[in-house]
Amino acid sequence: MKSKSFILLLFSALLFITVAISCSKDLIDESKIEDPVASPNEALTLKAGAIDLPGRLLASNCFQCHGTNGYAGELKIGEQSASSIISDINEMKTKDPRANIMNVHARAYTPEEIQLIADYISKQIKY
Amino acid sequence: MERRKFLQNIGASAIGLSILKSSFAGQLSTSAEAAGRVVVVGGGMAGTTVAKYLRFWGGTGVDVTLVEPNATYYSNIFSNMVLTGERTLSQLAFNYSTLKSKYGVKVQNYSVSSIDPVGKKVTLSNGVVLPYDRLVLAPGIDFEPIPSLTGTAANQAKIVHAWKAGAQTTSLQNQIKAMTKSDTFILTIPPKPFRCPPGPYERACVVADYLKRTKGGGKVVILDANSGIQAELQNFTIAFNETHKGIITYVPNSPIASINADTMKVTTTSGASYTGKVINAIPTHKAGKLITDSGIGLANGLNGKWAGVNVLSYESTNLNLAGIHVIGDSSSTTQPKAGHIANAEAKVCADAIINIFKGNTINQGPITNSSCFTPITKTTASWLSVVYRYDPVSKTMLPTGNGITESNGATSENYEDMLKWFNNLMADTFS
Repeated sequence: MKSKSFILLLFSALLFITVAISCSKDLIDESKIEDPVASPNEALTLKAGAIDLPGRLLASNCFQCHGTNGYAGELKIGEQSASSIISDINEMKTKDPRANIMNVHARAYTPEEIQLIADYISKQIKY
Repeated sequence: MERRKFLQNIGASAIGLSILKSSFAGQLSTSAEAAGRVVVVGGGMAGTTVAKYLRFWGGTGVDVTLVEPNATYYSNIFSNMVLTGERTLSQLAFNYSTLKSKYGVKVQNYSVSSIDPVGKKVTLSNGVVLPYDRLVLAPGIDFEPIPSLTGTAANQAKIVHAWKAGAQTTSLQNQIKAMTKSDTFILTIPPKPFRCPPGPYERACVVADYLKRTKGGGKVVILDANSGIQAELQNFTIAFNETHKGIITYVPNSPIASINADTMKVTTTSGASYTGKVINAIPTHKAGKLITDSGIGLANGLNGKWAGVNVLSYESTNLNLAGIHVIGDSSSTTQPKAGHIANAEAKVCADAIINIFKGNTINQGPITNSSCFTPITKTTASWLSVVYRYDPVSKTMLPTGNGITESNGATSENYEDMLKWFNNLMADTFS
């Protein structure tokens, strides 16, 4: 929990810096921070720094079923911690691949790749 | 993230900003703005995804124009369910409004007249000239003519493929609806590669299921140009021999020699003839016209009908076409031609282009995945999935992990998962 808060803090700081650099005059306009559809340019500027992490392309293999950044459907993996994602995937690796489609996907990635995916997804914000 | 929590953290980070800023210096420098102009041609699963992710990942410095003549995209995925009445075409309609409003993608509802690979510009049918730094082509598939198709024009018009969702889907739906239990539905499958490998076999299953449920019976004859079932061998073998026993007849090694639309007779190259009430002929595939007819050497892949690409970036392997990428069904790779993996290919392409704009090296080990849920009846479905990993020796994408895997049969649980999969895949692509 403590590490998650720290990640949240780090992430917010990065977001803050990105916002501060790119659109300082709008910084106190809360509505623009909250609503990503307010204006396309604003939404993209807010995210540009945060999404440029090493696991980006790997993690995007999850988005087709779990939504962009992991925020769709019943299982919103974007709301999970990195350690929870990793333990779920490791458990799926031990199960019958023909019984569940995720058991197939879990077996495809190395531990290092799973770490990158989990790190990436747990640091993204809802989109 | 909840708004309040988010704002609290913003406040907290402002206090810690001076301490934290130095530790982010490295990260920020690698996050330098990507800048460049990309023209994307084709608003299907591949083209729409690449347009979205170029902006989503690349930011406002990446200027993206999507060129697609149609304002509405009708999903091929789930279009077999239109044939049997579980879905309407309008429920499969998607548009580009979110790409415009949320991501700032510019959309041109025109077709491409010409590509100038030297001057790096595309001319549209309305005369607009779009200069590009990177051009991404995703024109999907086109068809070879059906060999020796004869009959009156009106009768020939009834021989449809319905392999691109739209008017032909409605035509085929109406023809199936008019069948009785003593009628035969003939489905012809082209030689590989074709779009959505499980798709034709799925269609045979759902039509058989529909005839059984609503007409009290009927016949489905599958004439497959290939030597065997091309996807989900175990699941479709069970479906043909058990689930739809007595209705489906599967005939491999049966390429079409001729179709007489007046007598509704299909003759195969071996001389065998089949007569049906409805003939659903899916012709031999080739890449979209833009690839085969552009005159600039894009169709340098399989059989000279598909685009050869480097799967690290999907840039053309024709060295005269630097800066032109081809994704989705038109490209010639070891991956299947289907919407789900087209979405994955598009992300590899978007990531590569953004890195190129930033002066970074592109990802040398991309991974993609193909997943497809397949209705077998009105209430059950199976699935097929494979994850591909770049192999630096063959320079191709090869199955990794458990390899090509099909579900353990068709279940109602899979059917429920299929409905969620469709919604989420389309959302990741169009919104």
